[in-house]
Formats: sequence, C-alpha cells, structure tokens
Amino acid sequence: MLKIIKYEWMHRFKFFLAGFVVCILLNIELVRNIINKNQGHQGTILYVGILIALAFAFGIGLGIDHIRRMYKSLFTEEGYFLFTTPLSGYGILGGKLITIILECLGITFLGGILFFIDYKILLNRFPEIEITSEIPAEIVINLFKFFMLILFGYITLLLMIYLAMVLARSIFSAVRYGKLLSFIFFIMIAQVVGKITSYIGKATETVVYVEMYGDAHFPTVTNEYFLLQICIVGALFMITGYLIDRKINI
Amino acid sequence: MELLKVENVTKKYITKKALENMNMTIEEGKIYGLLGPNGSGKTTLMKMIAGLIQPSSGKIEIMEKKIGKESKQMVSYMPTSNHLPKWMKIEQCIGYYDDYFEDFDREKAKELIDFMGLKENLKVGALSTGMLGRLKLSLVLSRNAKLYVLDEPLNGIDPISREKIMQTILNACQEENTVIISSHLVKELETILDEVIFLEKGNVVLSGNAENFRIEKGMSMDELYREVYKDA
Repeated sequence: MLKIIKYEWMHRFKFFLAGFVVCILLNIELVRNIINKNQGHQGTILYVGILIALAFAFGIGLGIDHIRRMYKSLFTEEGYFLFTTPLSGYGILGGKLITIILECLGITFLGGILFFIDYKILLNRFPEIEITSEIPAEIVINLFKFFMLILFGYITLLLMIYLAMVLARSIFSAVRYGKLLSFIFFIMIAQVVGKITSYIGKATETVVYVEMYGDAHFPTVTNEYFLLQICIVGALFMITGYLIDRKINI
Repeated sequence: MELLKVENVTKKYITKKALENMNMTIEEGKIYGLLGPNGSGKTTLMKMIAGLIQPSSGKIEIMEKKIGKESKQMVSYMPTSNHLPKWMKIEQCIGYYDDYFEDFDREKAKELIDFMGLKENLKVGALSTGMLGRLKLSLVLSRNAKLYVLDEPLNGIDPISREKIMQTILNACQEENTVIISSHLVKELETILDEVIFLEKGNVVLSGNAENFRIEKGMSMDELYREVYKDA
C-alpha cells in the first residue's frame, strides 16, 4: 500500500508544490495589503477573492484527479502493471484511498498553519482581534468531528464512483452497455446510501444539531451518525475491494 | 512437473467466445510458443494467467494455486501494449518494479537495459516502439519468476532489436524457468521454442514438442503454422 502512495505522489508533487507556492505568495500579498492598507478595502477583497477562487479551482481539480487515478488504473494499459502485482484488491483500493485521505488532511493542516501564521502577524498590527477567552475542548472536538464527517462524505462519494467504475470493468464488462449499467448503478447506490443515512438519522432522533456558545454557532454530529458513516464507507470499501480482487476484467 | 493447468476454460464476451472449453498444461523448465492468427485467444489466455481477466467458466491453476495474489508472485507478465507510466524515466521504472516485486533483481535489470542499449535517464514517453519493447522485456525478465508470459514481444520491433530480444530471452531464463511466448513471427521464434501450442477460435488445435514436429512432419514451425492455418 505504501508503494501506491509513493508513486501517486512521485507523479504529482510538482502540482502540489506549485499550488502551495502560489497560495503562500498570494497569502503574503493579502496580509501585506491588510497591514499597509495599500489598496484599501478593494485590494483586500480582490486578494481574498483570488485566494478563494484559487482554492476552489484547486479543490475541483484535485477531486477530478482523485477520480482520474482509479479511471487510469481500470481503463488504460497502465493498470496492467498494478493489477498483475501481488497486491490484493483491498490493498490496491486501500492504497489509493489512504493517499487521498492524507492529501486532504495535509491540505487542511497547511491551510490551518497559514491561517494561524496570518493571525499571529495581524495580531501585532490589530491587537483588538485577539481571542481572549479559552476555547472549550468540546468545541474543538465537535469541529474535528464535523471536519471528519465532511471527509467521510467525500470518501463515500469517491467510493461510490470507484464502485461504479469497477463494476464496468468486472461484472458488467461482458454485458452490452456495461458502462451505462454502471452509471445507472451509481445513481442507485447514491439513492440507497442517501435513504439509509436519512432513515438512520431519523431513528437516532438527531443527526446534526447546532449548539450555542456565547455568540457563536457550531455544528456538531451525534456519535451514532458518525458510526453510520464509518459503516457505509466500510461496506463500500469491502464490496469494491472484493470486485477488484476477484472479478476484475481489464 | 506441471506448472500451469488450464481446465475447461471458457471466456465469453458480448458478441463472441474468446476461449471455448480450453484444456492445456504447461510443464516447468520449457519455452512454449503460443501460436495462432488474430482472434485465436492468445492474448485472452495470457491475460487470464496474469490475473487481468477472469474466465467465464473453468479454472486456471499455477502450481495448484488459483490465480490471485499468490500466483502473481510467480508470474512475470509482459503485455503487448505499454504498461509503464509515460512520465517515468527508465531508472524510475527499475525502482517501480523493485518496489512491487520481491523477486526483482535490480542489478540484472541494469545489465539487461545496458545490453539493450538504453540509457537510464530517458523517459518512457520519449522511447520509440523498439526501445519500449526492449525496456519492457528487460524489466520483466529481471524478475526471478517461475513463469514468464510474453505477449507478442517482437511486435513492431526492427530485426536487429529482435535478435537482441531473442538472445536476452535465452540468456535470462534459467533451466528452471518457464516461458510462454506468443507471436506471429514464427520464423524468428523457431530456434528457441521447446514446445508449441497452436490456437484457433479459442481452443488448442495442435500442441507438442517442436523438434518432434520437425522430424515427424518434415517441416519447420513456420511451415507447420501455415499448414495448420491455411483455411483460417
């Protein structure tokens, strides 16, 4: 599995590096603009806008790349190497998912570091922005759970797409209109997952609720809902891994 | 000793059967030529042995093990097309194979690549067809595998490179290794084949020892190929 991570990143490190360098440079320019008030509010808004647009484009590009990685393994000759190695289907799928999870965590962590550095720099110039009261551990835990929920949601989406692609290259490979069938299956799986999530959510009474802390609203997630998401990811992983391991036809 | 066993294997696609109730055994320590016209089932069979395709029915076993994680440790497969990432340099390809296969011999790979006249700093995407063929073969033969499965290793290769490839196959494979080679270029392969298997419409039509065929039928493998497929 680690080998999969190594070669996925070997090919992409320049893309990530370029993205981070551009974000850091823009961020420096934004902070400099805020401190010096060179171009007034318009300049600040412009830099914030560019950063957000860039982050959005980078995120979309990365999402497409995450899908493309499995597509390349299943639908191009490059997959001949990976599927003839002595790795199980679960190992191959796990390697690709771990790579994606680490990328998401890494980007979030770096974003957090940048935000913290900006806060410390701006604190010197604008002492009034200092957060004087202590943030309770409960808020931090709930924020962490919310972030993990977003991550699980993204992994669930990816696994549903992967499952559809694997179906096209396994059970449906010898069937007429196999790719169309796979797409239909993707829609059905998405519906089923959505219905299960909604049903279980109602059964546990509260899925997501908002807590009040002072003037701040924070979303939070029940442990039951969290467990549900883990089970859905686990089930999708096992089905897709099994098909890659035993039924692949490329 | 029996290395590979193909038992009643059928492979159906949407509009046709690529293999139909095929039965075949491969013994250790021999070089097999898998011969036949386009669409006879050679590539399908090879992909099944490599674990890329599942049979619709029947079974394939390598040393009594089903095709899977364990059998892939014993099989070194070279596909017809390019399976190496185009962005990689040759030296990175060596690392690629070394990382994934425990039986990969890095030194042997460097020697073979040098023998083939390739430079390690070249990118896969920049290689010609002949150079790519030589690289693929060097990497595949650098594994100490039980079974080498080479799908059309001479395709699109110039005559000089073909000679190098044939020489490499002979030198790299030890007595205990088994090789299955498919090709249309029967004349080129003839000198190295121990056994031949002729496929037609997804089944074995003739198989046996190459030398025995030469003596019994009084013709070369190339002539025998033309004889077997004269109506194809």
